[in-house]
Amino acid sequence: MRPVATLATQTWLYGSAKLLLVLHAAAAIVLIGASTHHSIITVGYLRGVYKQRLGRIYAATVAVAYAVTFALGSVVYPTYRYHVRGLYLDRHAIWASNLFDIKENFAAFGVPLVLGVLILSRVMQPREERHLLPPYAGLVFLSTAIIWFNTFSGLAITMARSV
Amino acid sequence: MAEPARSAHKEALALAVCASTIGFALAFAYPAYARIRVLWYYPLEHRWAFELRPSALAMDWYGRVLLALGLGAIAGALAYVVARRLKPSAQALWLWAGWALAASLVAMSLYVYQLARRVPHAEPLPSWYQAK
Repeated sequence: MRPVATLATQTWLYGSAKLLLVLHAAAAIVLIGASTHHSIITVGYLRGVYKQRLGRIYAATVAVAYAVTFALGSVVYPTYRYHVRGLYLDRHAIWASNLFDIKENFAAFGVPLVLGVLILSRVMQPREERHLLPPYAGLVFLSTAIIWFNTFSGLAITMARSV
Repeated sequence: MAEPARSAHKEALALAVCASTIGFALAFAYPAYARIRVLWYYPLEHRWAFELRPSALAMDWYGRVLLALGLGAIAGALAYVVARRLKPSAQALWLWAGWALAASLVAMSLYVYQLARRVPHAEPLPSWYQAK
């Protein structure tokens, strides 16, 4: 049976943490799929294949999925910080504790990248405006790398201990 | 919008996105480099405090994100206004894109450097705690 925290050690939404984490993971699955497809579309832009409509759809999907994943992660974070990291990981799995903190900071660095990609995808004509492609591609590739790193890090951390 | 004006708008937007990314990365990394007051959340006390150091278990991540979002937005807005006046060349856009990626990667590396070998302090175990 799962031990129940006393009122003094209950974090915000402690009782819903497992559900929120499952939703966080579901959003991350959408996110990694959309960002990977978007990277492939962007490689196409660089090679002269312009699937612009699809690129815009993926950019919007990534932005929405990133926002949802980020928001759900932020909501579960206080419960993780005390019940998972504070009571367990910092004692028994320091690697997971440190990996989580690297992941959470990487997730923050992804915010301006994903927003920037969304903004540029709405206005850019990749066939005619090839000079806008390097900034666009750079943001897409770095944000996708962050998303891949964070998804697999999250998986490894929850295998060590979860909410 | 006429074609030259539309083109200037897009180039200014691209430069603003890069500037915003740089502003965000630097603002987010700065508290890891130098001690400054940020917003802390105390998860067991359900309260917020704007301070240099926390007095109990607390999280500064929300505060750092808010700080970086604010400064990133200001950097982006300023860059857009300037870029609308001084139409940036393609080379300038590439340079700003390079700086944006470099700033993000350097700031991310700083966190990896600080966190990879960190030895954290565990919280005291409460009476209700049962090892799983």
